[in-house]
Amino acid sequence: MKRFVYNVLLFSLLATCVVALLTALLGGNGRLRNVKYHLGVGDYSAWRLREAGKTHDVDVLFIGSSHAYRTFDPRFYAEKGLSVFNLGSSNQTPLQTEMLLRTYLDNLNPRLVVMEVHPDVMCLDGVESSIFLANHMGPSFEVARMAFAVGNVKSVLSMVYSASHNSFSSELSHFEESTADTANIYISGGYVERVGGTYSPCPHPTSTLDFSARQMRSLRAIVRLLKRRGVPCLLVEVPDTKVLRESYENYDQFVTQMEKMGDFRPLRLDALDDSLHFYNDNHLNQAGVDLLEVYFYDSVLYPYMQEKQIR
Amino acid sequence: MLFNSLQFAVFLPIVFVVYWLLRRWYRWQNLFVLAASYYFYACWDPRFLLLIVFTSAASYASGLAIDRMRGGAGRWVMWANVVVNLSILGVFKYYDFFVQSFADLFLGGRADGLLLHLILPVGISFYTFQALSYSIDVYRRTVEPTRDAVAFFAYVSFFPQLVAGPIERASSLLPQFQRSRHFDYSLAVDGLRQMLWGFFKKMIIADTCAVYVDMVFGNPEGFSPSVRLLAAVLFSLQIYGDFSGYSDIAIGCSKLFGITLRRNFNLPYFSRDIAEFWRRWHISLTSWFRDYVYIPLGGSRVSRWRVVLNTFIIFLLSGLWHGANWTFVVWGAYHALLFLPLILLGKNRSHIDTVAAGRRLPNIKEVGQMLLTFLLATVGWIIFRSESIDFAFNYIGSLFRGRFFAPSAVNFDTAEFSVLWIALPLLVAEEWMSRGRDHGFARLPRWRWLRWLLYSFIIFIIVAFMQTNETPFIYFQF
Repeated sequence: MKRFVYNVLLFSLLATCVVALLTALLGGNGRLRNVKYHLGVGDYSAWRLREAGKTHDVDVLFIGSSHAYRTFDPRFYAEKGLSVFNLGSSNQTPLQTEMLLRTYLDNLNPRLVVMEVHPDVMCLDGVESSIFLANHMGPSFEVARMAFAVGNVKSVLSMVYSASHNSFSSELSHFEESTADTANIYISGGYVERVGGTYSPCPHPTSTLDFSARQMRSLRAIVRLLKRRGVPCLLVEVPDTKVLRESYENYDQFVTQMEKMGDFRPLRLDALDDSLHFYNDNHLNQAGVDLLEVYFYDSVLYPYMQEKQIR
Repeated sequence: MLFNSLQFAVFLPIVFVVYWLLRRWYRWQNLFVLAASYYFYACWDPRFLLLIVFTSAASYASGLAIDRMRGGAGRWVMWANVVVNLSILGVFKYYDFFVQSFADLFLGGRADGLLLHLILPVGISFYTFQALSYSIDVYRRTVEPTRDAVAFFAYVSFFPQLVAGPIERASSLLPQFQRSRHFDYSLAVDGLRQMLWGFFKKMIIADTCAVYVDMVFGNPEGFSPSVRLLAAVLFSLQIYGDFSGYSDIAIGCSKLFGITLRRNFNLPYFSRDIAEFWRRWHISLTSWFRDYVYIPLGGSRVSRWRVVLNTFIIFLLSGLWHGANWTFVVWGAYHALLFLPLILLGKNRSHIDTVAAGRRLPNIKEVGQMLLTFLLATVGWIIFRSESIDFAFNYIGSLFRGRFFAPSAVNFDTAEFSVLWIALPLLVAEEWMSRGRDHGFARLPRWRWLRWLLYSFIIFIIVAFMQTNETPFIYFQF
């Protein structure tokens, strides 16, 4: 029996090494179904992460999914005398937010963290975003921890390949992505501006939100981490179209859960119109952003900063 | 809990360690295995545990009663147990089907108020048959009735084979629960090896084929006849990889606990005729019908026409066992028809040995026979896979309509299936070399490090190409 257990453990070690080695050697060019590696797929993370590594001591760090990097415009806050950085990325769930905070918190050293939370994102498994971030970051313990925490073969294997590829090749460090395309412009500080765009909303079938226990645990861990570091954390929910909001059967549960987590502010602005201020169900266009930023700063951020004696 | 889930990867080592910590007290081991098995089953739906407990209790009590009464009264008890268990199976699995079929025939299809819409409990057909065989064997005096209730309940619900077999007999499995087990290193290692081969068949062969098959069967009109034919062939491989893979995992897993289960698949696609195919496919079910239906009906010791009738009866029952749909009945009838000429010509036992025994490769005639048998089985699988009989016949007809290699209207990502270029030759080569052995990976290099590298490579193939969404086993629905 002891020999059996010993051999099983020894074999597991060998098998892990063989799998990691073969993944590193063969993972490129889409040869392996469960290894994904692609730089620059539309949310400008390559720019954002590179900038995050060089930015120090900001007043406010915005973090979260695409709602974050498409809503909080650093140019607006600069006019108010605040230095901010936006560390949002596509489909970023708390599992990725936790990893990003552990990686960049010392560097960015924010006085306040504004974390965007969204009911849909709290239901995601986080696989897509974990692969995407692993592709765009160098090998690190935090990235590996995130990949295992997601608990999906794709995220682990993609992390293994990304780590080996980014260690031995200069593809990531030499990667140059255009800062603009026909519809989006990357703005220094992590924000992505949408050029034009209106929306024709149509009703959604009703759906029940099935929150991921893993994401909830991770969100609690983020709140604890920031509390330990003495950084106030404000949870905000960025508006999306009314037709989408009305389709959630158990939206109240989301609000209750977030209120239990900490300081939660759902941003509600009646002036926002589904057609005029959005370019899809989830994201504001620049006109919508301009309206929301004023409301958010005057009614939520400034009072909160005063309450926390940040300014 | 699926074998191919993270949950099972945690469950199995815990159960394994605790089980062997209890090795000095086999009754405690049985109790622990029973609790683990019920937990395993409850992960699907704890409500249906009541059914397993009831089925086990009814068969256990009937065994004792048959032993006490013997003779005519014992016969009544045995039949009562058969009727009770089959009634439960009938209500959960067949009631709606027969009522709907009756309504379709006589009530213009209106059966709304009469249908029960019950959820089909996972594995009900498997454990019901296993429990039934015990009371019948006790009545036939081929098995001694047991007074050890825990051992008996563990026999009915032993988790590796609870939800999709192999359907065990009390004569082989029950005694293993009634004596102390000793850890056997070679058996446990062989079990792990068999499990690895099973996972490869399920997670690579079956699950990859399934993506292609589901796409084509979901919209056959969108594809050319050649693609439809390929999908049918791939379904043959899918169902083999899925079910024989499950059986390998179940048998291998049992070996870790010092318990050996019967073989369920013996390389069926290397069969030279359909009779040989059925001696090699789902062996535990085929032998169950042979022992408890075919032989009591007179078997082959009656007139030739009666043999034909008996053969039709067991194939139709076997088809119906698979599911409450006329497609399964037609599938059974189709195989009975394929069997018919072999019976009439007295050739149904022409191939009872292993193909190309003592040779590396088959001869041309054997290759032709194997290909023909595979093709005939594949036509049957089209019927089996179809949602309705109309769909099945349309699909088969569509193989002969239009340009065979016409470009398909629907595009699909061929990279999804690229692993099959490696996996299918590996499957065929390994299974061919395993003829005359218990399972794939039974014959390997002598050097341990080389063997371990080979296993590691298979694990790499599995993790690099497996589907990452949940992929239940096909036979769970039966």
